[in-house]
Amino acid sequence: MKTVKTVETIKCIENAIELINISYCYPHVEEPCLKNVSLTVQKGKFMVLMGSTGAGKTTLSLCLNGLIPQLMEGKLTGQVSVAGKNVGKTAVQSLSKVLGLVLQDPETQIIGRTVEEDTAFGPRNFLVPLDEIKQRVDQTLAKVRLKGYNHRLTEELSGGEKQRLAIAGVLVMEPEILILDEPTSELDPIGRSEIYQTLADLRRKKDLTILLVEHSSEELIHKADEVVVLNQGEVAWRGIPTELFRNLPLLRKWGIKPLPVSQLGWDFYEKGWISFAEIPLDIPSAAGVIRALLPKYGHWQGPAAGQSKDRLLKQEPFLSEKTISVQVSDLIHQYNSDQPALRGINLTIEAGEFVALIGQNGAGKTTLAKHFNGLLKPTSGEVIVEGMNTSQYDTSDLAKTIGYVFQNPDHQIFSATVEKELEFGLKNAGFKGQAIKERVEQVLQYTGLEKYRSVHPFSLGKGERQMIAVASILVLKPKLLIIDEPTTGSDWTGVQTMMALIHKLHAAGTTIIMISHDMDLVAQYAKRIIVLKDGEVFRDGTPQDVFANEQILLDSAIVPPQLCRLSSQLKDILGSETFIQSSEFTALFESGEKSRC
Amino acid sequence: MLIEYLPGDTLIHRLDVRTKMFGFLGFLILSFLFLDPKYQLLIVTLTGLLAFWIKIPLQKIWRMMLPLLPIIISIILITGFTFTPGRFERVSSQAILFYALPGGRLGATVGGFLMGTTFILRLFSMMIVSSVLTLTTSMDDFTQFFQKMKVPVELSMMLTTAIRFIPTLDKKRRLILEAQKARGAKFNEKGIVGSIRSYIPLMIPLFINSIIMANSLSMAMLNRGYGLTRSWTSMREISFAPRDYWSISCIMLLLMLAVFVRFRLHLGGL
Amino acid sequence: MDNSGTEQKDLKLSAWNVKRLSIMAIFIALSAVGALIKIPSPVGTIGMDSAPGFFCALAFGGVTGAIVIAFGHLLTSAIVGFPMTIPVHLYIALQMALWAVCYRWVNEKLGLIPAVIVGIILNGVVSSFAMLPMMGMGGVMGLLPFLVVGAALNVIISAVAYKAIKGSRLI
Ligand SMILES: Nc1ncnc2c1ncn2[C@@H]1O[C@H](COP(=O)(O)OP(=O)(O)OP(=O)(O)O)[C@@H](O)[C@H]1O
Ligand SMILES: Nc1ncnc2c1ncn2[C@@H]1O[C@H](COP(=O)(O)OP(=O)(O)OP(=O)(O)O)[C@@H](O)[C@H]1O
Ligand SMILES: [Mg+2]
Ligand SMILES: [Mg+2]
Repeated sequence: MKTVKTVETIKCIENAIELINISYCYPHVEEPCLKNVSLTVQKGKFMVLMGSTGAGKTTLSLCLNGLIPQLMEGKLTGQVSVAGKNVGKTAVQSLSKVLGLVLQDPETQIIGRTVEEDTAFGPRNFLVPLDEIKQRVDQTLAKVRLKGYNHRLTEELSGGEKQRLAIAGVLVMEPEILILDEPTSELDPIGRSEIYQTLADLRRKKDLTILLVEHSSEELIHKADEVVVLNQGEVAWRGIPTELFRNLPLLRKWGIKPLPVSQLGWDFYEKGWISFAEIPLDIPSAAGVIRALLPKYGHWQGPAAGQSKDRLLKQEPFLSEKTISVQVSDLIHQYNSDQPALRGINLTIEAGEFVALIGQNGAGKTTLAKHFNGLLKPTSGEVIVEGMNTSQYDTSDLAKTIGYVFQNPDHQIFSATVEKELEFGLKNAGFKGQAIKERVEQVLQYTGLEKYRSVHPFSLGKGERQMIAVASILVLKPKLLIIDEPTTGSDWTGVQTMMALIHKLHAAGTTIIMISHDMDLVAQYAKRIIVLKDGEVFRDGTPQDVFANEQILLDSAIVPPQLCRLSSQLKDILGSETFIQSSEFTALFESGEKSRC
Repeated sequence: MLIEYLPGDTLIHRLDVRTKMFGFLGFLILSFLFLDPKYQLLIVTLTGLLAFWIKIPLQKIWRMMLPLLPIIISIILITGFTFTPGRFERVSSQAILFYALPGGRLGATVGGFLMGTTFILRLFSMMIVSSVLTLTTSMDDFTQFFQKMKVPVELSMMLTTAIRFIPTLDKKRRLILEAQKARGAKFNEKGIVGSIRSYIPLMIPLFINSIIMANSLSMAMLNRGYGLTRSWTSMREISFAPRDYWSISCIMLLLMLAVFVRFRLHLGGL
Repeated sequence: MDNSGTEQKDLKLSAWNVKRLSIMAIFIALSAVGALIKIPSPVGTIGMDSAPGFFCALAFGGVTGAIVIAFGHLLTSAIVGFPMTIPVHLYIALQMALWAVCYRWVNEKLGLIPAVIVGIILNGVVSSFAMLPMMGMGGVMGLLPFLVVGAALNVIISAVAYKAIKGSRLI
């Protein structure tokens, strides 16, 4: 008897989080959002929670700190205990001493006006003495690399800084358990790995238990101890990250983004060349695998001179026939009296191009893109789009030829049904009756939104709302489509649907300008990449050219996609070639005549 | 926006909130004491000096005043026409300039126009004083002021949060406006029905985003322990310093002088 | 921290109050932002400062709406320095609060369209006449068209928005 009891108490202490048979149903919704979830997280572990959009990740994290059921109504059954406390019987506020939750949207979590005020909010509620608060605030800000920001206004922080501040606001309460819900969704690649590094450091130093909700990331595989996959409200899989990321069919099933190198590895595995455990998850091991396999199975004759010439020819066919879509000359834009956000941009984009605009947070990507449809007017210089000088036209007139999809779909959706939402743009453009019906019908089919035709947009998920936002622009049949970060916060399935749609539009002749922080996507789809840095064009060229030099890109906080880094590791074999598609790598192993079209 | 903090280290910055509030009240009384535009001009100049002292960027003042222009004009006109001669003490003010309607109806009085000017100058001085107040006082000081005045914590939290979120919501407003313009929405339709129709696409997303924002704000506040106790640690214990007593005495003196001028010397009326 | 006594006390800290508070705070801020939205009308530009309050009355209850509309009014007039003096603005704020409650009440009893009509009459006509002691008949007549148009814009927009958002799971 006695021994059993001690074992139990030890278990109690060891488990930071314990969920037993949790089911939850949102009010006015029939389908439960969480179904019989049981989960334990040991103290000091770094756990990652993954799953497709709508799988219930956010809902689960709200159950953990008691916001469900204390703030949200609905039906909750089962037992949740956190650090030995019964969540059902403890108020959220007192739970926050042991469990810190960083929510999805940094903007609304920031309560204070200055960085210091915001960070101090938590401890002040706990009546921590002033001296100690000051000390803790300084320490915490240093931890998240916001040292010296104390008196900066929170309004003026960049997206990345806001996300750090949100983490600081929770960390300052010195929780034992930290839950973060997609804390890096809008960050540039470097910013993202910095946050992960911060988390890993914290965990090592303070023995913090971390539960991170994330769609996918290369860095996490080696930092996390365990992955839990949620699928439609149920725990679908649980285990160590490497196991999951080597298993491509599983990833596909749950809509999680696979790593490009493991995709290569999976091909080799399927061919029986390597074992499951050899499927590479990082670049050095992938390089090793390729080096080992190439002599045995490869058909690569070394960097042939003819092929690179080939590509040069491919790049610029029939230049004279192309019409110019966007012409930017000496564009300078200044928001306020301080530094200009754009400092002399010169660009020509031809009709039918697929251009990706990348660069670190605050580089000026959005600012530049807003000039293309006249939302911003040049402080000096000129922007001519489809033959129209934007300073002479109103945005609403340009809207007929230039489509602009914003990052946040919630800024434009206002109708009670999806169908009406799509009609809005057409009515503005002066279309009538039957013409509107036809176009809406067409676009509903094109985007796969037919089934939601008469549904309220706000009862749909974020991915679908993003699609509605795109569709509401597509009805206007723009010649030039600008898309600002179309895939943030979407799961892999959503990303692929969206990109397939954009690709289809591009193939049909629409000029595409896409802003993105997802380098894998950029490399895969764009034909031309423009890197902005501090309001200037830093690089401009094909993905191969731009991603070739890792060191230089680091300056503008960009990490080239995994496959590019892989090919630069293999320089001695591949020569000066930079591969960006996985098909290019697999072609190494295919017979000579089929290689690289 | 007005609700900003202008970092600086002038005397006004360092004064206690209560002193500043008293000063604010003083100016309020001062500007309501006098009806004559000449005296109002003096007050505006005084407040202008204060503004100059804390170095308010001129640009900011202009941006603040510009949208008020239509209101200013309408105030002058409305008071000019609606203040009947009987309301003025002085004969010169009772003079009627002209009639807007035939048959001697709706007359514009000299006093009315003077009164209108006073209203506007009063508006200016109030605007300047309140921006001096808000620009030199941190939110925390205001919260403490509420606390000292025994305002319930919920109320002061609600107001400070509201003020904190004005710039955020204003940014949302701009983003929504841009998003709708990019879909071809026009915001210049005529008539009441037209303007309702053209502003619906702005207002609905604004309401929706506010609800979403309020939801996550309540989560964030609970997450960080708000409501655990009905009070919280003050970041800076406010206290009176000698400069506060000096300032209060100065303001008192000024007020007494003003009362004397107005009611004993009967100056500054209309 | 772990005895049952504190646990009992803990649960009394209602999360709902915090939710109400943040809704009110955000919508008060929205009133101030609404005042910056200048809608041209035949009688001059009109702000959207009371629409958030009316909307709250419909969506979250009369008391919430009343608080939002009253403090929204006080905050917006504070930003421009109380152009009509603090007592008058307090008086207006109280009136507005009352109208918000009536608006909600009529909506529940008779429906949205009667509520809109009542809202416009109260906030446009009755409010104008409530200024009689301060401005005289001339003032009331000058104010009337401005207030009626303003009330119409604000009330109608709040009603349309409520109808459009009601179908989703946001409220
Ligand atoms: N307030 C709500 N009322 C009703 N249903 C909701 C509510 N919030 C979320 N849901 C639904 O519950 C499900 C799970 O949502 P949740 O936000 O937990 O997903 P998630 O895994 O966090 O997704 P994402 O990756 O998009 O953040 C979804 O189908 C969503 O539509
Ligand atoms: N409305 C504005 N007023 C003042 N400054 C602004 C405004 N919008 C952007 N800026 C500033 O201009 C610069 C460029 O901003 P921009 O939004 O174009 O960056 P971005 O490249 O789109 O970044 P992100 O990847 O974070 O979206 C930043 O320093 C930003 O702070
Ligand atoms: Mg989520
Ligand atoms: Mg951007």
